[in-house]
Amino acid sequence: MPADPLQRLSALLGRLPGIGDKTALRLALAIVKSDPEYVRALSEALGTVHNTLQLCTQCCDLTPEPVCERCSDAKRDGSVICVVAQPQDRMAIERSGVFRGLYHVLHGVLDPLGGIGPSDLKIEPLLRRLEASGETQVEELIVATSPNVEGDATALYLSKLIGPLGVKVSRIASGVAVGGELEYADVTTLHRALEDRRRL
Amino acid sequence: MSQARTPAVVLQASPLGEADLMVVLLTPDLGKIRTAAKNARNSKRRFAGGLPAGALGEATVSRRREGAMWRLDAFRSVAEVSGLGRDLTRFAYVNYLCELTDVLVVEPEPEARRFAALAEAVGETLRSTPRPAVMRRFELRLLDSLGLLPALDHCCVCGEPTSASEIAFSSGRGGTLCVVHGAGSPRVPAQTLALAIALQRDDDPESAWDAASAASPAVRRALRDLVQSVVRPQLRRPLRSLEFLAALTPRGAVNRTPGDAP
Repeated sequence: MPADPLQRLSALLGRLPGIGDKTALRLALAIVKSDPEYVRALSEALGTVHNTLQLCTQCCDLTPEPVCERCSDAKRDGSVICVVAQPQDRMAIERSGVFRGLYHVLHGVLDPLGGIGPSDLKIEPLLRRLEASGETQVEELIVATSPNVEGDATALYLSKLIGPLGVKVSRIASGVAVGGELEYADVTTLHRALEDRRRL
Repeated sequence: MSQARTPAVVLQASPLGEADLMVVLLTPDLGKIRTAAKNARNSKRRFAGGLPAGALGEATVSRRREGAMWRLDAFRSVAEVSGLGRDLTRFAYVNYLCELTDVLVVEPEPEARRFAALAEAVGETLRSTPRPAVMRRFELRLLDSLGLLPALDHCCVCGEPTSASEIAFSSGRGGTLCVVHGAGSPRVPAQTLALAIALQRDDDPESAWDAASAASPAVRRALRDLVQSVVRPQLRRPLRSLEFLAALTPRGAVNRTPGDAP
């Protein structure tokens, strides 16, 4: 680690995803030029986010409390669980405002070549959750992993594992993007759109 | 700036920065190459259908100068690969084919027969029900292309043809052994060796696959063990795809092909 404080900060920022050397230096310089109050708040926020965030004991999402606000919200529909790969996927669905059920975050998808197998995902907590659901019986699990090979394999794996428990397992739809034009869609997307067509 | 358009199989793709991918390709003329695919995680046009391991198609690659890293400008699939995630056994088999190639093949070392073997195995696995026989043929042909194929029909010490109902075999010594040189070595049924010889021939893969699939479970397992005894010492690390295949049976809920699976 460089001894120079600016270089050190730049090197640390450069370890974040999506931040190259130039961007890291630009961010470091921006912090240097910022007013002290902002720098103090930023420093405190960094420490707090790392010290207080934990995995929700129910859905494995990131939360400052043992149980996240969604899992502890009695108004949400507990009979449907939407399974996502990462917390940012949950945030994207939540932003859409169309889903009022509960979530479960796997923290990854099956990726054999990346060394990620079923035991590396938060599947066991999901199974425990389904088995312990009791009166508020879970009726449906919507697997909302990305529509790529790894996302599909993860969805299939979950359906084989959870289907026998009597819970309906569904997959989010995929195909031609809303607002897009058919003639510009690629062959794979069209193939998927036709394969997953639905009756009107 | 040099640019090439070449048939290719994606061996592995891993995230590189925010939206790029590091993609390892096997090609017939450039061999195994490491490429950077700029903005591949966003681009639906240049990389339609994504770049999963086992994607078989035509790659457009370029580089600024000799020795510089290749850039993957576009990839057009020629085989439908998006359904790979909808069959776990197929998914695991294709990952195994790609990982085995990636681990055993040194960059760049072009070898057209090696590419043909992988393209054939991936293509067949994508097209039809995944079969261990397809894996066996690929493993043998890959070993052959690497100069690692053991002797299967003659003594690897003296060159004498081997013939008996059970023949001595030692992967460490180089394959089959005659009665004189094979004393004390484990025996392999002649039928297993005959199957291995038929599988690694270039001609008529369909018949060889059918014959291997129709063999008794004991013969198929013996063939798998024979091939693995040659492959395993060449691996620098355990194959993740095999760990994945083994992990497909938690709580007995997910089926996999039993017997002579990789």
